[in-house]
Amino acid sequence: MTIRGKVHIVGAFEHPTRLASDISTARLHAEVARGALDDAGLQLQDVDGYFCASDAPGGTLAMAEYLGLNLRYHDSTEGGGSSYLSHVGHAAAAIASGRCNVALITMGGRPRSESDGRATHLSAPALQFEQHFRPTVLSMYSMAAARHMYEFGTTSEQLAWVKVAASRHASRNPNALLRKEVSVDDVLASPLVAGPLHRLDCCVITDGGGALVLTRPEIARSLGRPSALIRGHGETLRYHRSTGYDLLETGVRAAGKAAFDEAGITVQDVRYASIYDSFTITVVLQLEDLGFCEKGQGGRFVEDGALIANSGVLAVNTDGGGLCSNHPGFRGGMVKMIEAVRQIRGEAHPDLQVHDCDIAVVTGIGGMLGSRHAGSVIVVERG
Amino acid sequence: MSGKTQNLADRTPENAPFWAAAAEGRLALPYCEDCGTFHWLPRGQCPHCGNLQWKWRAASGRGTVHSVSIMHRESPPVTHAIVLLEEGVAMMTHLLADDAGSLRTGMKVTCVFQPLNGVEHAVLFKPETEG
Repeated sequence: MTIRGKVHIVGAFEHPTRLASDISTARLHAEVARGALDDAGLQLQDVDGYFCASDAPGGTLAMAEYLGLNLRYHDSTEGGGSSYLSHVGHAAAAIASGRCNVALITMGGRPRSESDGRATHLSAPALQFEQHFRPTVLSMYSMAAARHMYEFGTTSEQLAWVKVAASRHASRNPNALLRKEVSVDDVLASPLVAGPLHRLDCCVITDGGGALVLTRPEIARSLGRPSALIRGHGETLRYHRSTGYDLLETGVRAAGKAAFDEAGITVQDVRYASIYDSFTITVVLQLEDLGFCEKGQGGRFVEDGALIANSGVLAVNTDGGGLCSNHPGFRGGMVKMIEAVRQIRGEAHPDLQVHDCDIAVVTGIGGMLGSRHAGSVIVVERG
Repeated sequence: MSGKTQNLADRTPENAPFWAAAAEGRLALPYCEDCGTFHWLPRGQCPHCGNLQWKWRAASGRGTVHSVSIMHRESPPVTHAIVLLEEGVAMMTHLLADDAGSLRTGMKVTCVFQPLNGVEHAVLFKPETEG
């Protein structure tokens, strides 16, 4: 059974905050739920399916109580920053099979306000061989960048172009954490933090969150609002290979193929792309894995402003992305999804709105490349 | 060094031979006698043939740096690496060298055992040329 054409995203809301020192994480979830339901023209009483990941305090059980939900369906799939794309796919499947009518997905985190807001999986059997090396997203993604440079001759200047495009877009976003446009030279002049990665190759750390509301076509039509129709989803989990090693293929390759196949599209059909941007190298790897270019050619692909809306070859992350606008709770997937909905509805910033944006793709990666990570990809079209 | 030290109770009983070998300065890897292959990280079963009864086998301790990254912000800087061993498996590790800037992808390295963040015999690597 396919989910293609059966489920609409009718509500999307990104919390404007980037520093939530005066409210709890649970309260953030409540505020984004209200924002997305208001956007859809629905109420909490209409929700009968609920989805959240480990950023939600107490998980689905506690949040259902806190939000006062009366549920027929719940799902707490955890895939780090990609969780919310998987939630979209799972919610679409639940709605398409009649298990719920209105699905709510919430995300919120406060790493700037809480000393340790990062979810951990301390019982993973591999950790007894890894934990003492203190691997971090920075150490693993910087090794991916170093390997990409070693194998393919990718340069720091090429990676910097990803940040330059994000900063151009963020300059139009009043809520972005970093609104100043930067140049390739600015990125290269920022301090090296890990391997070949500079400070400006890394995403921001922000408090914040977002929510989505999904429903079936009859209800979506009755709401009288532009919506994003889900056209395909794919997901996978990748981990340390038992022999050899691969730092350069992300889970987005397999997830993207599944999503594109279900959607019946190729990269030529994509008008806008929300590409998970924890680091500049993350974007390069995924553009390769989705097939926008060959593996190894991603550095060349992103050069010379290629990712800047309406002047480059592919509009990417027109909200400023995680690199400049928002990466709430170390988890970027929710805001990636929300900007794609804005583009599909024609509600992006006028300077950055893609003309006739009928098909958009959204990617997410959660966890660490080269270690264990999740990849999830959604394709949406105009509803 | 900041952060928590490793709790020895986190070690699973089936991996005790790895740490016993490390304490004697030897590297052991999971090896399947049925299909004749090594694997890493230790799995519930041989990832090649599904055999639950894989054994620990002595390994060379030699390999090649697959990727390396100096964490510039730490003092002294810590050098993270992935090392591809001669047995065909890869390990997360740290590299040791007097001059971290001399460490390169593709460099031949050999393992050493020393304390790291609460683990008495962590498996680290240093360039072969440094003896």
